[in-house]
Amino acid sequence: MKRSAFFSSTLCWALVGLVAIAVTPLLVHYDIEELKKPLLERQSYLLHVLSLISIYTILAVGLNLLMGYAGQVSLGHAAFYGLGAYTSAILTAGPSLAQHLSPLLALPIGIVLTAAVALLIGMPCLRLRGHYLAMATLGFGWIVYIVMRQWSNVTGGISGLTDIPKLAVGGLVFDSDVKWFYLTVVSAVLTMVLSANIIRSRVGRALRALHGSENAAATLGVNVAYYKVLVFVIAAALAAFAGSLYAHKVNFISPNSFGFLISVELVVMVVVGGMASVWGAVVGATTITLLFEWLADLGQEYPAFQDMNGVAYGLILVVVMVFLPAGLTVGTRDLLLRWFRRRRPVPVPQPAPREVTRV
Amino acid sequence: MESLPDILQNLVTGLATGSIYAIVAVGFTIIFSSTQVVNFAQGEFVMLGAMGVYMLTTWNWRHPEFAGLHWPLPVAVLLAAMLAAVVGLLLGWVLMRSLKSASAPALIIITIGASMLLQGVASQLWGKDAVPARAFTTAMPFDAPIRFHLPRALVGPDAYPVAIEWQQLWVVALTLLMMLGLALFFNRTLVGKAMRAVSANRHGAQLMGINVSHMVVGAFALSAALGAFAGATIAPITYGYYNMGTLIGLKGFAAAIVGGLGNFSGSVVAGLLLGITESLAVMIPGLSDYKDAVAFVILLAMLVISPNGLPALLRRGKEAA
Repeated sequence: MKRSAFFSSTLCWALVGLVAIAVTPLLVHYDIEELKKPLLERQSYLLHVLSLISIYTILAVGLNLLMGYAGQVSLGHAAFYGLGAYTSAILTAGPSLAQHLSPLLALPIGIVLTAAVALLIGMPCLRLRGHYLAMATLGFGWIVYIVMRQWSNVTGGISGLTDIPKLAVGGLVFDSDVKWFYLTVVSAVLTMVLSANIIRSRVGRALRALHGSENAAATLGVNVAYYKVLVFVIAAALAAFAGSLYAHKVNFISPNSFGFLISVELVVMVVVGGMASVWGAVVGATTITLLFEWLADLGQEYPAFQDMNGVAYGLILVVVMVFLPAGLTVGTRDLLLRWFRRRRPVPVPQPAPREVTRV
Repeated sequence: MESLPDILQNLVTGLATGSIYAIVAVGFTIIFSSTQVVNFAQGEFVMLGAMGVYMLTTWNWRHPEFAGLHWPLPVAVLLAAMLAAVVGLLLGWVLMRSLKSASAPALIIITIGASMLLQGVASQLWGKDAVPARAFTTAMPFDAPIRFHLPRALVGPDAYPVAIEWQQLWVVALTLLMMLGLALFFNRTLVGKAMRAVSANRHGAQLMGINVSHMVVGAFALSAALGAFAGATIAPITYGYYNMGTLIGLKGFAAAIVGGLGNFSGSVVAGLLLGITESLAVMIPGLSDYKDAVAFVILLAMLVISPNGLPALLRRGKEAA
């Protein structure tokens, strides 16, 4: 691997990304008059959607580590997301507590707690080969969801918890959509950088090795179970982080934001985006979030469409997975490649002159 | 301490719901062993059976002046099962096409997408309210539950009787019948044996001249029809609604895993045990709110203790003894 070329391309992307991030709110507020007014509904909605995309990106990037690199599926990832959100909410605004913590303290507590729970679930299930983790997380997800719904004096039951305080760091209170936009996007980018670093580190190489063949990896001295558990705990911790951000952003949470359907949605984001690629997770999170917002929008515009959300979503899932099973990014690329190849005669590959490698 | 009649009463309820979990678990097993795919649309077949029978026997198409169809029940049940089988056939065909190219999560998403699609269509067609399906037997002696008193010496003078609904008997009896039929089908008929051959060794079966894709699609149709039968029998007790399949399906899935995924008799036993445990657990004070979590707690516990299910646990116990 040519490191210099790789770094320059990463740097390039990072710069493009940073510029895009910095400019987006300006684009949204392109009108000077608009800036003077309180945030218009549409604009704050846009920023809200972008924040949501960022939060889902954190979730999808974490889950992508697990699915794309460790080859394991979590069908209850929303539970970890929910654990983070509910820990934050209960500690900062729970009706059962006399004294509340500050959000800045609750956030790490939620992450540590969730990571510990993930460790407990992951250890027995990941010792074995096969999709035991998927089944265990599916069960765990439902248990967490049911407890959220039923343990009403602590979790607020179906109606959930309200009045969750805004996140505040020192004197900086995150109380506007623009501030939240910056916070969530920066968090998402940091998560992506973290994930990219994990993938390119010893851990990432071990993960790819065991994804290819657990036997071969074990023969080469990779502690298969250790790495699988490690990446599962990281994914859960990232989900908890996202959940905590979500709770402090929207200030109101209820069990339905963390149910089985959300777990499915997260898996869908990873698969639709394309597994084993950080950018794929971002594409997936963006596409699915936008799709949902768009379907909800359609439902508001055309009442007849309101109940068709499920039908449309289900149909899209089936069609995309049947025709682009490798996801949108890889699938579209392959489709384009095939299309171009068909149009252009493929030159017969000549054997490349052997490179002299210095040992 | 709960009284004996209470325990017996819950046992009866548990046996009936457990039968449904058992059928759904067997449905999972049939599809899993022939394709290695966990079909998350399994619960929707149950829903299709329940709503299909409701449509053909009582539904008035949301028009009060329309009297409804009122077809005889056996015809309705058969037609509902056929409808589900056709849906299963389609799903099987779609999955069959993607089996080679798609990853395991992609296949799971296809089945989940199909389940959302079916729920959406059902809510459009039949609305979102829970509807009572017609009981199988409604004539004179069958209109009231069977009540029997336990010996007074045992339970005290003012204990109330244990009641068994006729429909609960139907559920258990039909489940037994279906399991018997399945056992015969898989052991005695050529098609059944071919299906088993496909699940034992795909390539081997193909080399022996078995049309593997027909068998896979057939497994989906069979599993769907089974689920629909289960739905038709349980709907008079639990009512039918468009998303009734989600929890029934997932609890059946839990039963399939507890029974050792791919193990037929294991799934049946696990399904019954799950139903009974669930309805007995409700009696523990404070636990009644968490009834739906019981199956998943058992699932998690089983995965921690013995990931290959109850049969593996028993075998281990036997070896240790």
